[in-house]
Amino acid sequence: MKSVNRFIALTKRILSKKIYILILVLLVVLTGVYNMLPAKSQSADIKVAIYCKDEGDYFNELTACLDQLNSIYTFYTVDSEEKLLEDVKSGYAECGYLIPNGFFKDYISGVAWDNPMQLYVTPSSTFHAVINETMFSSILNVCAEDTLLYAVKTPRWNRELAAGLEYYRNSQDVFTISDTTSGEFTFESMIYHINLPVLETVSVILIFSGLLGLLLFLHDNERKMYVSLNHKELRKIKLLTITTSMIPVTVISCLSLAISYGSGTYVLFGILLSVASSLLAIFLGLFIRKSTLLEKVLPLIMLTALIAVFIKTII
Amino acid sequence: MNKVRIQARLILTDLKRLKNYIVSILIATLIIASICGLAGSLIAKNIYKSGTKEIIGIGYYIPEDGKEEMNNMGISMLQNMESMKSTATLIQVDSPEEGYELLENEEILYLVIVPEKFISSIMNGTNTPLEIIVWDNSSISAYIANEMFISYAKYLGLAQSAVYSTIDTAYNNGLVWDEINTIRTNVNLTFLDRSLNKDSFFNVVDATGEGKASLIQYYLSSAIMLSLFFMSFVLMPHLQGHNKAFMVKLNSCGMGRFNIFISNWISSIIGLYLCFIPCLVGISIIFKAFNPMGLVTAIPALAIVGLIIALIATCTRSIFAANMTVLIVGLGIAYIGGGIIPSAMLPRIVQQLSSFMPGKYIITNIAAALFGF
Repeated sequence: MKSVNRFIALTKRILSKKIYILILVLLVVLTGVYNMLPAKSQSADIKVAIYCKDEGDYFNELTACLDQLNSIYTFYTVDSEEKLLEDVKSGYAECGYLIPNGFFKDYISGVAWDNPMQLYVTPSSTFHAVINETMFSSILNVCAEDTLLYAVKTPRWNRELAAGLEYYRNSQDVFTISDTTSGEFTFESMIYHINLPVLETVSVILIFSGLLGLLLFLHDNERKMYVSLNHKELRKIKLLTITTSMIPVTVISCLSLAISYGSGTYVLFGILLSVASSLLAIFLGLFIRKSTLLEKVLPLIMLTALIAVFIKTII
Repeated sequence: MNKVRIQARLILTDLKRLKNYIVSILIATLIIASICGLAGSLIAKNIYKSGTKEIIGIGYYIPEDGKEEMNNMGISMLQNMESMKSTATLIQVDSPEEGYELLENEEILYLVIVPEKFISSIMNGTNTPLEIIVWDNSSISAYIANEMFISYAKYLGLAQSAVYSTIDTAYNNGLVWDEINTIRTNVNLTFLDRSLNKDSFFNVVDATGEGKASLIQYYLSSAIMLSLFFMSFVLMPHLQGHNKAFMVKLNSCGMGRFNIFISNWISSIIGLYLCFIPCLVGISIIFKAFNPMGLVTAIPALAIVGLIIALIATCTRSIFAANMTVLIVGLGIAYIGGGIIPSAMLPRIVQQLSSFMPGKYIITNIAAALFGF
């Protein structure tokens, strides 16, 4: 009966802690919010951003040429270099081309190596080498006439050369490859749901709750509340305080796990995690006898746990 | 004694007390900076996951037509193209049957059967068609390879068109064959240069950096900012260490919480400076470059972090509450400043908020101090 009364008193006390209530409410709310988010479809569409500083007909022709292509890549133009970088960095675009002023003229006269384009990539960019083929074949297509006139360097032939080029590039007399794909590939291939990493979040919260229970016990002990009790009773109270601080969090955690994953295995795992966190708190309690020390160490433990969870999520 | 002198005495007393924390600060710097630095470098390496691209197998058959040298030169040019190197493996087969077998075993996705005298047929305009057999024409790999082939064909087709147009024009204008041949070669070489030398017409730039700092430099700077924040775990007992009797005495001299805050701020800056020095030395050793000016240029960042720590220390009642608040605030500032996830990947609203929060500026300032931008 004494233990039950202590349990009720400790539960009331722990539930009066603002930080504890905040954690419980946050866990429930975030689980609910993430669970209600609609599923998203991930497009396998490969986007390529272009920002051109070389204003003029060449770029307009290039964009028209890229638009007309039956390409697997979606080329689109942006208004600024910042936007180009942002799209590449965020992964929205597979890569991004920055075309400098005067690039097309330099390309035609063969000195573009002195005024090169910038191809922005990230380690996630996989296809930029093959995208280059589409990009440069389109640039050559746009600049073909002027490149030919530049190579021949006989202005009085210009009209005749241009007409001949136009005739041959549209004729069957030059080398072409027919499209071999069937068009059955769908870009909208993956449906996914954004999930809160509930298991990882719950693990951190359970560790925190166990240590918070230990901290409360140390505070009480330092206030000489248990001065009349023997060691055995003291150990019982320590265990009871830690257990009491774990129970509400365990219940809410199991509920969140059940909502998020809908599997009994995860609930069982949550209970096991709760027991493990209690054991960790009891173990640390063997060495940490002063609340001031725990107050210093607890944020460091929390920091390490948070970093571990974050890195696990990324990797 | 006037207020200014009392304030100065308070600051001096606090700085004297800080001496007792020097060893703790250095040990904590070692632990916290190691944890944060390791986390920072792991994040920098993994935040942009390397793409998992399937290498496509392409088989090709070249007949014995006495033009093997020319055909092999064409294949060799193809193999040397960056797009081909990064996307496909070219496998030569001895017969079309062997190629079909590889297709059936899914060892190759494409089989290219080159007809006899293929290259010379392109030169003379006959253009004997290539036979390309595709195993699966609906996968993304098939689409990518298909587009690559179409691009190669476009280069070739444009070069051919230019050469034919030149020959026609030169002939119509009464040039003799030698003259025509010279112009034709010049046009051919020009188009070959624009098609094959394209790698020299662009620079590949890593977009992951933030400002002048590379991704790893930015994340290490963010890790050091977090280490400075978490140094409060050591500094907090010092900042909140004024006992009640001392507070009563201060109050009687007209000194309130604001004066304590000022003193705390100065103590925090000095404490953080002690933490920053080993970080600068560590980074200098790792990157084999020491920027002595960093000891001065880091002061604004240290002052802002110190200000936040001193504010939290002054406004909270217990060390535990203060440390937990610093933990949350520090992580929040780093997140909004793009120090945990790159700014470009953050939600739009957080990106907009970033300009009004100190995180981005502190990290940039620390990066400048560490790496000398």
